[in-house]
Amino acid sequence: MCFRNIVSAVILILGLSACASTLYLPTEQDAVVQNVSLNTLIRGRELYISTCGGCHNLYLPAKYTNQEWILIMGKMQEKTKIDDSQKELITRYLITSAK
Amino acid sequence: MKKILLFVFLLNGFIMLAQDRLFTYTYQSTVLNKGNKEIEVWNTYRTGRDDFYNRLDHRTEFEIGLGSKLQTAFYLNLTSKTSSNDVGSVKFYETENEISFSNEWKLKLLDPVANPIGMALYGEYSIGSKEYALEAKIILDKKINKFVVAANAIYELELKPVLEADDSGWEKENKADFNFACAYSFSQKFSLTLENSFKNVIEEGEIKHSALYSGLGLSHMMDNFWLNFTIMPQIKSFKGEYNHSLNLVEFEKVQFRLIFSYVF
Ligand code: HEC
Repeated sequence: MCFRNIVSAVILILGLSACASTLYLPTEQDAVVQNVSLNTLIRGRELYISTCGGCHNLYLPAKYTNQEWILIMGKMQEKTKIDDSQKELITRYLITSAK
Repeated sequence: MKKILLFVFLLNGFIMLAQDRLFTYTYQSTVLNKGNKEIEVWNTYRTGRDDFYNRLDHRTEFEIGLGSKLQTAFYLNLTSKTSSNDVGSVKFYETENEISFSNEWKLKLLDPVANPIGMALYGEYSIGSKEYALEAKIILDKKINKFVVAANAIYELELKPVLEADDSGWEKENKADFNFACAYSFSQKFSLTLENSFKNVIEEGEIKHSALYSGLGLSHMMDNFWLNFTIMPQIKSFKGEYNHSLNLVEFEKVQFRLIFSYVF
Protein backbone atom coordinates (compact mmCIF):
# COMPACT_ATOMS: atom_id res chain seq x y z
CA MET A 1 0.00 0.00 0.00
CA CYS A 2 1.16 3.48 -0.85
CA PHE A 3 0.77 4.82 2.66
CA ARG A 4 3.22 2.23 4.01
CA ASN A 5 5.70 3.05 1.25
CA ILE A 6 5.61 6.72 2.07
CA VAL A 7 6.06 6.07 5.77
CA SER A 8 8.96 3.67 5.18
CA ALA A 9 10.61 6.12 2.76
CA VAL A 10 10.37 8.87 5.36
CA ILE A 11 11.78 6.64 8.09
CA LEU A 12 14.58 5.49 5.79
CA ILE A 13 15.60 9.00 4.76
CA LEU A 14 15.42 10.37 8.28
CA GLY A 15 17.27 7.29 9.52
CA LEU A 16 20.05 7.77 6.98
CA SER A 17 20.29 11.43 7.78
CA ALA A 18 20.63 10.61 11.46
CA CYS A 19 24.02 9.06 10.64
CA ALA A 20 25.24 12.29 9.04
CA SER A 21 27.65 14.66 10.73
CA THR A 22 26.54 16.48 13.85
CA LEU A 23 27.90 19.52 15.58
CA TYR A 24 31.53 19.37 16.72
CA LEU A 25 32.07 18.25 20.33
CA PRO A 26 35.11 19.87 21.99
CA THR A 27 37.82 17.66 23.50
CA GLU A 28 40.31 18.00 26.39
CA GLN A 29 42.95 18.79 23.79
CA ASP A 30 40.91 21.76 22.46
CA ALA A 31 40.60 23.06 26.01
CA VAL A 32 44.40 22.94 26.45
CA VAL A 33 44.98 24.69 23.11
CA GLN A 34 42.40 27.40 23.92
CA ASN A 35 43.67 27.68 27.47
CA VAL A 36 40.17 27.38 28.98
CA SER A 37 38.39 24.57 30.78
CA LEU A 38 36.61 21.91 28.75
CA ASN A 39 33.45 22.92 30.56
CA THR A 40 33.71 26.43 29.12
CA LEU A 41 33.80 25.03 25.60
CA ILE A 42 30.90 22.70 26.28
CA ARG A 43 28.85 25.56 27.70
CA GLY A 44 29.70 27.59 24.60
CA ARG A 45 28.40 24.78 22.43
CA GLU A 46 25.16 24.57 24.41
CA LEU A 47 24.67 28.31 24.20
CA TYR A 48 25.35 28.20 20.47
CA ILE A 49 22.64 25.56 20.04
CA SER A 50 20.08 27.32 22.20
CA THR A 51 20.57 30.88 20.92
CA CYS A 52 21.71 30.57 17.31
CA GLY A 53 19.34 27.98 15.86
CA GLY A 54 16.14 30.00 16.17
CA CYS A 55 16.16 32.02 12.95
CA HIS A 56 18.25 29.80 10.72
CA ASN A 57 19.68 26.33 10.98
CA LEU A 58 23.01 26.26 12.79
CA TYR A 59 26.11 26.72 10.64
CA LEU A 60 28.89 24.21 11.21
CA PRO A 61 31.91 25.88 12.86
CA ALA A 62 34.20 24.57 10.10
CA LYS A 63 32.34 26.62 7.53
CA TYR A 64 34.13 29.85 8.50
CA THR A 65 37.61 30.93 9.64
CA ASN A 66 38.35 32.38 13.08
CA GLN A 67 38.37 35.90 11.66
CA GLU A 68 35.07 35.35 9.90
CA TRP A 69 33.44 33.97 13.06
CA ILE A 70 34.55 36.99 15.06
CA LEU A 71 32.99 39.31 12.46
CA ILE A 72 29.81 37.22 12.24
CA MET A 73 29.45 37.12 16.03
CA GLY A 74 29.63 40.91 16.08
CA LYS A 75 26.75 41.06 13.62
CA MET A 76 24.67 38.28 15.19
CA GLN A 77 24.99 39.56 18.74
CA GLU A 78 22.59 42.40 17.90
CA LYS A 79 20.01 40.01 16.52
CA THR A 80 20.25 37.52 19.37
CA LYS A 81 20.39 40.03 22.20
CA ILE A 82 23.08 38.04 24.05
CA ASP A 83 25.48 39.80 26.41
CA ASP A 84 29.24 40.04 25.93
CA SER A 85 30.09 37.11 28.19
CA GLN A 86 27.69 34.84 26.30
CA LYS A 87 29.14 36.09 23.02
CA GLU A 88 32.61 35.26 24.30
CA LEU A 89 31.56 31.72 25.24
CA ILE A 90 29.97 31.03 21.85
CA THR A 91 32.92 32.53 19.96
CA ARG A 92 35.38 30.37 21.96
CA TYR A 93 33.48 27.27 21.04
CA LEU A 94 33.14 28.22 17.35
CA ILE A 95 36.82 28.93 16.85
CA THR A 96 37.94 25.61 18.34
CA SER A 97 36.90 23.87 15.16
CA ALA A 98 36.84 26.79 12.71
CA LYS A 99 38.16 26.41 9.17
CA MET B 1 6.34 57.93 -6.13
CA LYS B 2 7.53 59.72 -3.00
CA LYS B 3 5.01 57.76 -0.99
CA ILE B 4 6.30 54.49 -2.37
CA LEU B 5 9.88 55.44 -1.57
CA LEU B 6 8.85 56.43 1.94
CA PHE B 7 7.04 53.13 2.35
CA VAL B 8 10.05 51.13 1.16
CA PHE B 9 12.27 53.14 3.45
CA LEU B 10 10.01 52.55 6.45
CA LEU B 11 9.69 48.88 5.62
CA ASN B 12 13.47 48.60 5.53
CA GLY B 13 13.72 50.31 8.86
CA PHE B 14 11.26 47.95 10.44
CA ILE B 15 12.53 44.80 8.87
CA MET B 16 15.16 43.29 11.08
CA LEU B 17 15.33 39.58 10.62
CA ALA B 18 13.33 36.56 9.71
CA GLN B 19 13.26 32.86 10.31
CA ASP B 20 14.42 30.62 7.51
CA ARG B 21 11.40 28.67 6.57
CA LEU B 22 11.87 26.86 3.29
CA PHE B 23 8.57 25.13 2.66
CA THR B 24 4.98 26.21 2.39
CA TYR B 25 3.14 23.07 3.54
CA THR B 26 5.78 21.34 5.65
CA TYR B 27 7.01 22.76 8.94
CA GLN B 28 10.59 22.75 10.26
CA SER B 29 11.63 22.50 13.90
CA THR B 30 13.11 26.01 14.34
CA VAL B 31 11.64 28.17 17.10
CA LEU B 32 12.24 31.93 17.52
CA ASN B 33 14.42 33.08 20.40
CA LYS B 34 12.88 34.85 23.33
CA GLY B 35 11.69 38.30 22.28
CA ASN B 36 12.11 37.79 18.52
CA LYS B 37 8.94 38.44 16.54
CA GLU B 38 7.92 37.77 13.01
CA ILE B 39 5.00 38.37 10.68
CA GLU B 40 4.05 35.85 8.00
CA VAL B 41 1.49 36.38 5.28
CA TRP B 42 0.03 33.25 3.69
CA ASN B 43 -2.02 32.98 0.54
CA THR B 44 -3.39 29.72 -0.81
CA TYR B 45 -5.42 29.33 -3.97
CA ARG B 46 -7.13 26.00 -4.73
CA THR B 47 -9.02 25.15 -7.85
CA GLY B 48 -10.44 22.29 -9.91
CA ARG B 49 -13.02 19.90 -8.55
CA ASP B 50 -15.60 17.85 -10.41
CA ASP B 51 -17.96 20.78 -10.19
CA PHE B 52 -16.74 24.36 -10.30
CA TYR B 53 -14.69 25.14 -7.18
CA ASN B 54 -12.38 28.03 -6.35
CA ARG B 55 -11.07 28.76 -2.91
CA LEU B 56 -8.79 31.46 -1.52
CA ASP B 57 -7.30 31.31 1.94
CA HIS B 58 -5.45 34.14 3.50
CA ARG B 59 -3.70 33.96 6.85
CA THR B 60 -1.81 36.67 8.67
CA GLU B 61 0.39 35.22 11.35
CA PHE B 62 2.22 36.92 14.18
CA GLU B 63 4.94 34.78 15.83
CA ILE B 64 6.70 35.42 19.12
CA GLY B 65 9.61 33.56 20.69
CA LEU B 66 8.96 32.94 24.38
CA GLY B 67 12.28 31.38 25.40
CA SER B 68 12.94 27.84 26.60
CA LYS B 69 12.47 26.69 22.99
CA LEU B 70 8.81 27.66 23.03
CA GLN B 71 7.09 29.81 20.45
CA THR B 72 3.52 30.94 20.06
CA ALA B 73 1.67 32.48 17.13
CA PHE B 74 -1.66 34.12 16.44
CA TYR B 75 -3.41 33.94 13.11
CA LEU B 76 -6.27 35.76 11.52
CA ASN B 77 -7.70 33.56 8.77
CA LEU B 78 -9.96 34.62 5.93
CA THR B 79 -11.45 32.04 3.58
CA SER B 80 -13.63 32.52 0.54
CA LYS B 81 -14.85 29.63 -1.58
CA THR B 82 -17.09 29.61 -4.60
CA SER B 83 -18.63 26.39 -5.83
CA SER B 84 -21.42 25.45 -8.17
CA ASN B 85 -24.58 24.14 -6.60
CA ASP B 86 -27.85 22.89 -8.02
CA VAL B 87 -31.47 22.79 -6.97
CA GLY B 88 -33.38 20.55 -9.38
CA SER B 89 -32.14 21.53 -12.80
CA VAL B 90 -31.09 25.03 -11.80
CA LYS B 91 -27.35 25.52 -11.33
CA PHE B 92 -25.93 28.45 -9.48
CA TYR B 93 -22.73 29.65 -7.90
CA GLU B 94 -22.48 29.91 -4.18
CA THR B 95 -19.81 31.86 -2.32
CA GLU B 96 -19.09 31.15 1.32
CA ASN B 97 -16.85 33.29 3.48
CA GLU B 98 -15.39 32.42 6.82
CA ILE B 99 -13.29 34.28 9.33
CA SER B 100 -11.39 32.49 12.04
CA PHE B 101 -8.75 33.02 14.64
CA SER B 102 -6.02 30.48 15.48
CA ASN B 103 -3.39 30.19 18.14
CA GLU B 104 -0.41 27.86 17.77
CA TRP B 105 2.19 26.60 20.22
CA LYS B 106 5.46 25.09 19.11
CA LEU B 107 8.07 23.45 21.30
CA LYS B 108 11.48 22.51 19.93
CA LEU B 109 12.89 19.32 21.42
CA LEU B 110 15.91 18.59 19.23
CA ASP B 111 18.03 20.66 16.85
CA PRO B 112 18.40 19.61 13.18
CA VAL B 113 22.14 20.36 13.14
CA ALA B 114 23.31 19.73 16.70
CA ASN B 115 21.31 16.54 17.24
CA PRO B 116 21.03 13.54 14.95
CA ILE B 117 17.57 14.76 14.04
CA GLY B 118 15.56 17.95 14.67
CA MET B 119 12.20 17.56 16.36
CA ALA B 120 9.36 19.80 17.50
CA LEU B 121 5.81 19.38 18.77
CA TYR B 122 3.06 21.64 17.56
CA GLY B 123 -0.50 22.30 18.67
CA GLU B 124 -3.06 24.71 17.27
CA TYR B 125 -6.70 25.57 17.91
CA SER B 126 -8.98 27.62 15.69
CA ILE B 127 -12.23 29.34 16.44
CA GLY B 128 -14.24 30.26 13.38
CA SER B 129 -17.57 31.74 12.50
CA LYS B 130 -18.74 28.32 11.26
CA GLU B 131 -16.39 25.74 12.70
CA TYR B 132 -13.83 24.90 15.35
CA ALA B 133 -10.62 22.98 14.77
CA LEU B 134 -7.82 21.36 16.74
CA GLU B 135 -4.54 20.37 15.14
CA ALA B 136 -1.47 18.52 16.38
CA LYS B 137 1.80 17.95 14.54
CA ILE B 138 5.01 16.09 15.04
CA ILE B 139 7.78 17.81 13.13
CA LEU B 140 11.05 16.12 12.19
CA ASP B 141 13.83 17.67 10.13
CA LYS B 142 17.49 17.36 9.30
CA LYS B 143 20.06 19.55 7.62
CA ILE B 144 22.82 17.80 5.70
CA ASN B 145 25.17 20.09 3.77
CA LYS B 146 23.03 21.83 1.19
CA PHE B 147 19.97 19.70 1.80
CA VAL B 148 17.19 20.09 4.32
CA VAL B 149 14.66 17.28 4.71
CA ALA B 150 11.54 17.60 6.82
CA ALA B 151 8.59 15.36 7.67
CA ASN B 152 5.37 16.16 9.51
CA ALA B 153 2.63 13.89 10.84
CA ILE B 154 -0.52 15.97 11.29
CA TYR B 155 -3.83 15.17 12.92
CA GLU B 156 -6.76 17.55 12.76
CA LEU B 157 -10.23 17.47 14.26
CA GLU B 158 -12.86 19.75 12.79
CA LEU B 159 -16.17 20.41 14.51
CA LYS B 160 -19.17 21.93 12.76
CA PRO B 161 -22.59 22.48 14.31
CA VAL B 162 -25.26 20.21 12.83
CA LEU B 163 -28.32 22.06 11.63
CA GLU B 164 -30.90 19.30 11.12
CA ALA B 165 -34.05 19.66 13.23
CA ASP B 166 -33.93 16.21 14.81
CA ASP B 167 -30.19 16.06 15.28
CA SER B 168 -28.48 18.86 17.12
CA GLY B 169 -24.85 18.46 18.06
CA TRP B 170 -21.54 18.46 16.32
CA GLU B 171 -20.43 16.98 13.05
CA LYS B 172 -16.88 15.73 13.43
CA GLU B 173 -14.33 15.38 10.69
CA ASN B 174 -10.89 13.88 11.27
CA LYS B 175 -7.96 14.52 9.01
CA ALA B 176 -4.60 12.79 9.04
CA ASP B 177 -1.91 14.20 6.78
CA PHE B 178 1.72 13.27 6.22
CA ASN B 179 4.06 15.77 4.66
CA PHE B 180 7.52 15.09 3.41
CA ALA B 181 9.73 17.76 1.92
CA CYS B 182 13.26 18.25 0.69
CA ALA B 183 15.12 21.45 -0.14
CA TYR B 184 18.37 22.03 -1.96
CA SER B 185 19.99 25.42 -1.47
CA PHE B 186 21.89 26.38 -4.59
CA SER B 187 22.98 29.71 -3.13
CA GLN B 188 22.72 31.60 0.19
CA LYS B 189 19.58 33.21 -1.18
CA PHE B 190 17.75 30.56 -3.20
CA SER B 191 16.53 27.03 -2.52
CA LEU B 192 14.60 24.66 -4.71
CA THR B 193 12.01 22.62 -2.84
CA LEU B 194 10.03 19.45 -3.40
CA GLU B 195 6.99 18.89 -1.21
CA ASN B 196 4.65 15.95 -0.86
CA SER B 197 1.45 15.91 1.09
CA PHE B 198 -0.53 12.74 1.66
CA LYS B 199 -4.02 13.82 2.75
CA ASN B 200 -6.68 11.67 4.39
CA VAL B 201 -10.19 12.43 5.57
CA ILE B 202 -11.58 10.03 8.15
CA GLU B 203 -15.28 9.70 8.91
CA GLU B 204 -16.72 7.27 11.43
CA GLY B 205 -13.38 5.57 11.85
CA GLU B 206 -12.90 4.93 8.17
CA ILE B 207 -10.75 6.64 5.54
CA LYS B 208 -13.25 8.24 3.16
CA HIS B 209 -10.91 10.33 1.04
CA SER B 210 -7.24 9.99 0.40
CA ALA B 211 -4.91 11.64 -2.09
CA LEU B 212 -1.29 12.54 -2.70
CA TYR B 213 -0.15 16.00 -3.71
CA SER B 214 3.41 16.62 -4.91
CA GLY B 215 4.91 19.81 -6.13
CA LEU B 216 7.94 21.97 -6.68
CA GLY B 217 8.65 25.28 -5.08
CA LEU B 218 11.15 28.04 -4.70
CA SER B 219 12.37 29.72 -1.56
CA HIS B 220 14.04 33.10 -1.62
CA MET B 221 15.75 34.46 1.45
CA MET B 222 17.00 37.97 1.94
CA ASP B 223 18.55 39.56 5.01
CA ASN B 224 15.29 40.23 6.73
CA PHE B 225 12.71 38.81 4.49
CA TRP B 226 11.82 35.50 2.90
CA LEU B 227 9.35 34.36 0.31
CA ASN B 228 8.28 30.80 -0.51
CA PHE B 229 6.13 29.63 -3.35
CA THR B 230 4.87 26.12 -4.16
CA ILE B 231 2.63 24.63 -6.83
CA MET B 232 0.99 21.43 -5.57
CA PRO B 233 -0.94 19.38 -8.10
CA GLN B 234 -2.85 16.30 -6.98
CA ILE B 235 -0.89 13.32 -8.28
CA LYS B 236 -3.01 10.35 -7.30
CA SER B 237 -6.09 9.44 -5.34
CA PHE B 238 -6.29 6.37 -3.13
CA LYS B 239 -9.83 6.67 -1.85
CA GLY B 240 -13.01 8.50 -2.79
CA GLU B 241 -12.24 9.16 -6.46
CA TYR B 242 -15.05 9.21 -8.94
CA ASN B 243 -14.50 8.68 -12.65
CA HIS B 244 -10.86 9.80 -12.47
CA SER B 245 -7.51 8.75 -11.11
CA LEU B 246 -7.82 11.87 -8.96
CA ASN B 247 -10.19 12.58 -6.10
CA LEU B 248 -11.97 15.74 -7.25
CA VAL B 249 -14.84 15.37 -4.80
CA GLU B 250 -13.00 16.27 -1.60
CA PHE B 251 -9.75 17.67 -3.00
CA GLU B 252 -8.73 20.03 -5.78
CA LYS B 253 -6.65 19.41 -8.88
CA VAL B 254 -4.09 21.95 -7.82
CA GLN B 255 -3.14 24.27 -4.98
CA PHE B 256 -0.79 27.24 -5.05
CA ARG B 257 0.70 28.69 -1.92
CA LEU B 258 2.75 31.83 -1.37
CA ILE B 259 4.12 32.82 2.03
CA PHE B 260 6.25 35.84 2.71
CA SER B 261 7.56 37.04 5.98
CA TYR B 262 9.35 39.87 7.73
CA VAL B 263 9.99 41.14 11.20
CA PHE B 264 9.28 44.64 12.36
C1 HEC C 1 16.87 36.72 15.24
C2 HEC C 1 17.35 35.95 14.13
C3 HEC C 1 18.79 35.44 14.18
C4 HEC C 1 19.44 34.88 15.24
C5 HEC C 1 18.92 34.60 16.63
C6 HEC C 1 20.78 34.56 14.76
N1 HEC C 1 20.90 34.88 13.44
FE1 HEC C 1 22.49 34.47 12.24
N2 HEC C 1 21.52 35.29 10.65
C7 HEC C 1 20.27 35.88 10.70
C8 HEC C 1 19.95 36.46 9.40
C9 HEC C 1 18.69 37.21 9.03
C10 HEC C 1 21.06 36.17 8.57
C11 HEC C 1 21.28 36.52 7.09
C12 HEC C 1 21.47 37.98 6.81
C13 HEC C 1 22.56 38.67 7.53
O1 HEC C 1 23.74 38.34 7.35
O2 HEC C 1 22.24 39.62 8.29
C14 HEC C 1 22.01 35.42 9.37
C15 HEC C 1 23.20 34.92 8.91
C16 HEC C 1 24.09 34.19 9.64
C17 HEC C 1 25.29 33.56 9.13
C18 HEC C 1 25.72 33.51 7.67
C19 HEC C 1 26.83 34.44 7.37
C20 HEC C 1 26.38 35.85 7.18
O3 HEC C 1 26.95 36.75 7.81
O4 HEC C 1 25.43 36.07 6.41
C21 HEC C 1 25.93 32.97 10.18
C22 HEC C 1 27.22 32.17 10.14
C23 HEC C 1 25.14 33.24 11.37
N3 HEC C 1 24.01 33.96 11.00
C24 HEC C 1 25.49 32.83 12.66
C25 HEC C 1 24.71 33.09 13.78
C26 HEC C 1 25.15 32.86 15.12
C27 HEC C 1 26.52 32.30 15.53
C28 HEC C 1 24.12 33.19 15.95
C29 HEC C 1 24.08 33.14 17.46
C30 HEC C 1 24.97 34.02 18.14
C31 HEC C 1 23.03 33.65 15.09
N4 HEC C 1 23.44 33.59 13.80
C32 HEC C 1 21.77 34.01 15.56
C33 HEC C 1 19.41 35.91 11.78
C34 HEC C 1 19.71 35.43 13.05
